[in-house]
Amino acid sequence: MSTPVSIVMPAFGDPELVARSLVALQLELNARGAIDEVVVVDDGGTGDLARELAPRFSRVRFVAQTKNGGFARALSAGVASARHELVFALNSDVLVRVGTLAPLVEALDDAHVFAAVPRVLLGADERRVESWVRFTHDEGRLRLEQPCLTSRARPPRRDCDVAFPVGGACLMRKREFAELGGFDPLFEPFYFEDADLGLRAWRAGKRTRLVVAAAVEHRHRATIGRVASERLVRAALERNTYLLQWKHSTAAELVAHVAALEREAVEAWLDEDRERLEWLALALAAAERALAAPRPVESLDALVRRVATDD
Amino acid sequence: MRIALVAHGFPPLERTGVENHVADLAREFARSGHEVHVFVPRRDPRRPELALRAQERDRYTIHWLTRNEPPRSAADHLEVEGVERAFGDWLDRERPDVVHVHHVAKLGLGILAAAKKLGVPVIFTAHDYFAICHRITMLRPDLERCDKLGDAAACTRCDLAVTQLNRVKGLGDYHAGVFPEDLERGAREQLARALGDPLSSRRGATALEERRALDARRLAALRACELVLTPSRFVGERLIGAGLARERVAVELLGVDVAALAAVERPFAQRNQPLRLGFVGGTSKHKGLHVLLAALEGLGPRVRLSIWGDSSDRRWTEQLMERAKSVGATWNGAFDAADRARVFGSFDVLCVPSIWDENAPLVIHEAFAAGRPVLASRVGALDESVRDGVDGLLLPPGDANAWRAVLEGWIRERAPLEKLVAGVSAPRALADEAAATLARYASLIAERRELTPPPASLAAFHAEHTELECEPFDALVERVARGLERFRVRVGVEGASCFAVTIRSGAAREILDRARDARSERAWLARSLALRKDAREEVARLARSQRELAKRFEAEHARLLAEREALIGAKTAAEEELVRRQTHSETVATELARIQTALSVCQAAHARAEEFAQSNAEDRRKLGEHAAWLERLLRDLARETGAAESGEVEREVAAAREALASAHTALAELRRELDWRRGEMRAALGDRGGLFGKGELGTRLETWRAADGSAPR
Repeated sequence: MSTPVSIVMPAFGDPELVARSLVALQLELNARGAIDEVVVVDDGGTGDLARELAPRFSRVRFVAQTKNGGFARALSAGVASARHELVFALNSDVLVRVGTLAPLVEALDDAHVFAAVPRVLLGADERRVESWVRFTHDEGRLRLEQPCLTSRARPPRRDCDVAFPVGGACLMRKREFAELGGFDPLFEPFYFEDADLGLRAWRAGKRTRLVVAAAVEHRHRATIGRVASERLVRAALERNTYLLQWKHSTAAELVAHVAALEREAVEAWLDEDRERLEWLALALAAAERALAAPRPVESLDALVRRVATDD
Repeated sequence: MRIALVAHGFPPLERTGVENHVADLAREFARSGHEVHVFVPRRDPRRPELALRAQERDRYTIHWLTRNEPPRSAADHLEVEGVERAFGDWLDRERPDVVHVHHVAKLGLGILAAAKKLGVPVIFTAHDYFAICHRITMLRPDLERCDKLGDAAACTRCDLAVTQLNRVKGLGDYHAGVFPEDLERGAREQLARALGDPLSSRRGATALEERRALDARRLAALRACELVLTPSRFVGERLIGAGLARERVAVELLGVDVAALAAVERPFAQRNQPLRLGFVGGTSKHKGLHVLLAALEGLGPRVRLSIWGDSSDRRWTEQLMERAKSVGATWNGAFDAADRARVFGSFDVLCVPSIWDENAPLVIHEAFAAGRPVLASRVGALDESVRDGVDGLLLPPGDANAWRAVLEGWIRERAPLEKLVAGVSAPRALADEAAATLARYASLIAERRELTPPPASLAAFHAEHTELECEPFDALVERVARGLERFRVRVGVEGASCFAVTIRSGAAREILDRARDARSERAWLARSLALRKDAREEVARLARSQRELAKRFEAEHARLLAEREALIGAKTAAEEELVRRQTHSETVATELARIQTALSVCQAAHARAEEFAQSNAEDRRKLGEHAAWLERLLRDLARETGAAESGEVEREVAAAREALASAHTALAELRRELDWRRGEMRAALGDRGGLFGKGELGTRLETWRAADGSAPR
């Protein structure tokens, strides 16, 4: 008998989207013999979603947040309320394919694996694997790479290490999630809280595996885009890129990074590129909090290289 | 509040009503503590196209956009290349809370589009008819007033008429149009034809389509504005009639700097002076100064006219200056707004003889501020500015006699005029208009901010981001500099931030301006290079095509040459054949003549032979008869002499037999000759038959043979 899993799905409105995802999930759970539980965290702050969907999905447990707190907080709440040790985090715009959970569960048999992620297929396209993620650290800047999306690389054919478990679909252990401290509120409202968690796991000697036998479809519905402008979303992404880098840089790396920051500021100023200046201003405003954490021993550069090669 | 004002020109370069009013508003807003930025185009050949330069004045900032390229088509007036991006970039830097556009001439509709993209409230003030008439004045090119709204066909006819006028040499910058009577007959007729064009031709239909598309774009851009203000109900109704939503159109009367004109000496302060009239404003044709000058003819020194203003319609203005001179008027030219008090102090009555549907000329309100009554045409919205019989009079537009009659009346008696002076009341103050406009801005900004509150999880970040988004560029840059300085300290890097030092240096603005120019030049170069690349590729394509054509031409040329050679050979052969045939023909003719001669000889011989044969046959018949007789005689003799003298009889018989043998020999001779003749004839006929076939000779010969009884079978 397979290990039972708690599927935790944070949701913000859009009951139709959630229902579609739950229906797809139901097929997988039935195939697994109904040993798992489903927790939908209604992050709307009103309980409307739970009221609307509960009658249709009797086997789903709805947890209503009293206040909209964002994806990371809703997921953390869901994980906290999960009854099983294995927790599968799932976005409401992700459709699970039948047979996804078993290989992920199997991957977690390895105690050194912190999280297992399926192939997250953007728009159900087999060539666009979103969950194949890694970092580069060039010219003093940390940059996220998704080879299938950015350079149209061929998707991996074998299981491999990735930098972090994408929050949209990943299986992890509830205990380890708590031990690592869960998501850091530094990255609120969204983006890179999962990357930070993954990097922290790597520093703790735990890796994240991409399991090619498992696949989910990401029917991108711009959940954030419904409530935030494109500029705001981009600002959050760019600010958090800085914060992630600063949080994981050693003191020496930070000193070296100052020159890169100065150069970026001058370039943005000369280009009158206020958006880049805004990102920098937002990041600098949060710098105190990002730098408050103890400096890591292993440099960010070394960590990024280790993640990329340690397979 | 951070306010962006946009106009098509600005003092001191442009000094007519709208430009001066925008300057007044900018100053008034700044005086009220608001941050004001004015975005205006100017011609500056020293700078690259679309270069921006800032200038501080009266506590507000003017941002001059260099516009040197003139429009080349009707579409260019509406869509000026690069302006939308330049204005968008500028808005992105300055982040005003509101954008108030007073005109988009020389800038195009891209101004409105860029402002909409920024997401701030956009207000447009219709100081004229730009919103509904591409000619701005609702005047046709023959200077007839137009009352058609949204009639693309009428607007197209104006386009065609303008095209006609542009072909007439010597008209110069004719502005709103040309009076037909000032045109040569041919040009006048062409203008009339264009204005009556049924648009049924292909050219007309195309022009109509283009006009419809342009008008639709303009109307759509204006409909997107949150608010369209107009200083008169008249223009407001026309805007609504043309398709703008009534709820988005509002009347906002223009205010004037009352204080600047309060100190002007009251009219008729000095007794026994001539009637002092004033004309203030543009001197283009539609302003009707010519009507006023015509009215003054013959009134002599009892009336003096001071003219303040100018026009780039030089040809017309020079004509007016001549006419002004002839009626003793003083031509003062353009003036600075700072000189308004002196200008309005130079006359007692303001004249506004416009022949177009005026909106709300500021000069009228300024005259009222200076206590002057106004004599104006009854056109457009002027009856909203001038209360007929109270603070002025309204007269038929273009009717010089009516104007002269009023002036003559005032010369005779000042009392009615003084009554009008007494009826003048203070106009709306600029401060009042500014306050009302600011209230409108605030209301629109508040509406915008209430649109979509973010969810709780986003609220803090949204607020932080919005604060940055609303911050002007310089403040944002300073914020980053301070952040960087703190960051340096936090991570333990000593020394000053080079970024902070740079942006705080006195040369920072100059550096930014130059960097922007460089970007603009780079973009221009990139476009040029792209065009050049396209052109080079086109040239290469054409060259390839030309080479292919050349190859095909050469092949064709070679083929034609070969064909020519073959034809020449054929011709030579044909000529040779002709010569050969001619020679053969001559030979045949000679041979024929010879045969004919031979035939004649043969015929003669034949005739002789026939004749001989006939005589021979007779001879044979006679010989036969004679031989038969002899035989009979011999048989008788033999019977008579029988036995006795049988020897003698036998001798006689032998002699008779010899004679008969001799006759047979002669007959054989004749037969041989006849055979020879026949052989000759057959040979002759054979030759002829080879040349001509069976002809007359053959026929005759057959006849000949038949007669002879020897016709061949």
